[in-house]
Amino acid sequence: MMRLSAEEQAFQKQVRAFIRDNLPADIKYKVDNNLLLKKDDHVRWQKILGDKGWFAGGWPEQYGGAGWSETQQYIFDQENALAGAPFIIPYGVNMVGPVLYNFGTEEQKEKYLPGILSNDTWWTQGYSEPNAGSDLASLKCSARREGDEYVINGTKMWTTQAQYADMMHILVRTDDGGKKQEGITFLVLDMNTPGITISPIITIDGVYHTNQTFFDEVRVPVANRVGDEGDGWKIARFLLEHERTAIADTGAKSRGVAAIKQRLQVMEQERPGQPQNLLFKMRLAEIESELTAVIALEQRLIADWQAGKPVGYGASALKVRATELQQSLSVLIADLNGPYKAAYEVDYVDQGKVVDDPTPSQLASGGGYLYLYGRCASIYGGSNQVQRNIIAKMVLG
Amino acid sequence: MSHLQEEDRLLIQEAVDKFILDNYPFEEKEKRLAELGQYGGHWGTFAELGWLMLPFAEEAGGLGGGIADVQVLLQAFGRGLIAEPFSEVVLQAGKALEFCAPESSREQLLLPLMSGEQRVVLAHGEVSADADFSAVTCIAETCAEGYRLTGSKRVVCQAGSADRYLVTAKLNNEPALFLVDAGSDNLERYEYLTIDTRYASDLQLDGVTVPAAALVATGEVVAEGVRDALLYTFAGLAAEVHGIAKNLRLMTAEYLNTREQFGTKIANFQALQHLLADMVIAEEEIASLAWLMSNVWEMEDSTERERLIRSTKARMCVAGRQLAEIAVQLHGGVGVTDELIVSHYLRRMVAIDALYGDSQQQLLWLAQQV
Repeated sequence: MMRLSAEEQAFQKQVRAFIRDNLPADIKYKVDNNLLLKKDDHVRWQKILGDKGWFAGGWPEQYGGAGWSETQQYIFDQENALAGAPFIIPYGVNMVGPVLYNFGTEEQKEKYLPGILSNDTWWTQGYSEPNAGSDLASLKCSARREGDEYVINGTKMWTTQAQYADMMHILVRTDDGGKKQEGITFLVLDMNTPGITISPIITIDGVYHTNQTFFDEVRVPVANRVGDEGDGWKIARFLLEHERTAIADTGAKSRGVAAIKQRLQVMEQERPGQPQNLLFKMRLAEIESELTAVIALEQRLIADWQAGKPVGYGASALKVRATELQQSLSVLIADLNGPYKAAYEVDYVDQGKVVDDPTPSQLASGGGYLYLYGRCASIYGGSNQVQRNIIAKMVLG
Repeated sequence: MSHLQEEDRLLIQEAVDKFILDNYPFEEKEKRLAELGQYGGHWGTFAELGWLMLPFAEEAGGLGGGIADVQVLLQAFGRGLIAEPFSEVVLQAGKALEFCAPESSREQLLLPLMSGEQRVVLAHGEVSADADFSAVTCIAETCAEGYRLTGSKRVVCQAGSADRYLVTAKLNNEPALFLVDAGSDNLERYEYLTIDTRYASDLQLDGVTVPAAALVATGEVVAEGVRDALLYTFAGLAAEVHGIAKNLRLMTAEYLNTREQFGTKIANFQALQHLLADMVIAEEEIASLAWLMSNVWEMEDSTERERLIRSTKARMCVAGRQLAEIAVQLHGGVGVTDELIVSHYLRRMVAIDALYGDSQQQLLWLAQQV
């Protein structure tokens, strides 16, 4: 078990109290009811955290962060999720931010970090392509050098929130010869640059989260390149390794378990002694025991990380188990709705308006959303089959 | 089993295949949803082709088809994700009318349904929505005009497309079945989308007055008839699940043989081959269950029949959902898009599972028989 020092315990209390007192009720309503969060919800919450100095807590102080340790970051993430606050959108603060202060030039840091910190610049990512999903290294979107500019042609899939974004960080191919990993370069670009077309992708949940973005002769200054030409793969690996631990999002799962417990207590009061209730309790108990293991794995990895030890295949194991658990949790939440498992009021999920007395079909719709959107979890961030390949390769050599 | 001549069955098969090809390209689902919103759809065609008469006895004016014949339609409806309320109107409500109504009024009650002139859906589910009658709390009382109904009915699938509801209630503590006009006073309907992008409604009956003639039947025959209509529906739906499972497997195999990652067709990865094999195994199970269901209605022993049907409902929904989840997973990113039919098959599987007792509820019923 992770042992917290006295300072860390005090920090935890402070975070808990702050979120309790400052989280807007309409945002908490959406999170508690498993409804879709919009850009405005995220920005509002992230700005509240920013005013407190806790938005980019993990960044070094010199760049405007709080210089949190891995443990502090973990405490914050847990408390944030447990309290029903929105998860932090990672594309700016957790992805391109650390890339910039680790690999960027002074000019780049000065130009981009303040907008990320203030949440006035919204970022999206451009990694996957139609034929480069879990096999990211085979990406084809090209950037040819013309004087002081790169000219981008091609397409990017799953550019989540691109419809709201001011900036994109993107992996492009600058060299076709040699090993495919070596010809990749990392750029940042302004989404208002001519030649960019955003085409919405409606996902399995009937909701608009993500896009395919097309690039037709899009001109980006060479000054927007982070690292050297051909450094893209190294940077992507740095960045995705961060994503793999964040993907566990165990705080949200603990909140889900607590919500189910509450719900089952109500069911027991309303219709005491129903055998169905015991079946649900057994399923919850199973999920709780699995969650205990996932949290332990996560905390062990964080401790190793903090001690500078290599985490090896642990990150892949965590991704697989955490996403599988997320899916079984969503099935249980949906099943609790009985016949209303069939209900899915997509407008209610999408608009997330606070309703004083939601109908049973509205209450159930969040469960449907969790289940449907949850199907993505075993696919994104490197599919669970690819994670298993990584593990096998590491063990077998 | 089939009660029709082989050639008649083949005609049905050809007609339904042609119907889907002509009218149901998946790409036009948005348009279709809009049509369904207005409750247009293709109901007239269903009537013209005789599909609405298929499972009813010839004495009642039907074609006398058996479950195997209905399954020909339902398997195709599964494949095509046909959203017309066939199983709601013809199987749930139609069979409930046939099983419950006295012989003297049976044909007269079924005729408008079979001609397509009137759509009737069964409004039976309440807080717990099993096929059993024990959960019904809706109350019917006699009054000067006939009867007065009070209660609520939950998740009535496709209620918005119905002219009448077939409402279960307790009359003098006895099971009773009423035909209630959709436009009745004191009847509120709250409609919502379902996970398979169809519609369901919750009905609130606050003293809905119906004439004496609205009472279809009363007594134990109602409890048994409604339960049997739902069991009959489950038996038919096994074919719909099979249609979905088969198409998902075909599509997924084709995708694995087309999609390239890591410099090779992804069909070459053993991990994915095994997942496809798991789909095939599930499909085999589901095909077998559909086959088992095709002549389950001819069984003498109704207790054993119920056990088999509920086992099938539980297993086909678990195996079907797992199969559909694998199909989504193997399609990767495109599997979780709205654009591809794969995600819609999964969504339909969830809706079928939720219908009148999901797999856990069916298993609980089975466990309680031990």
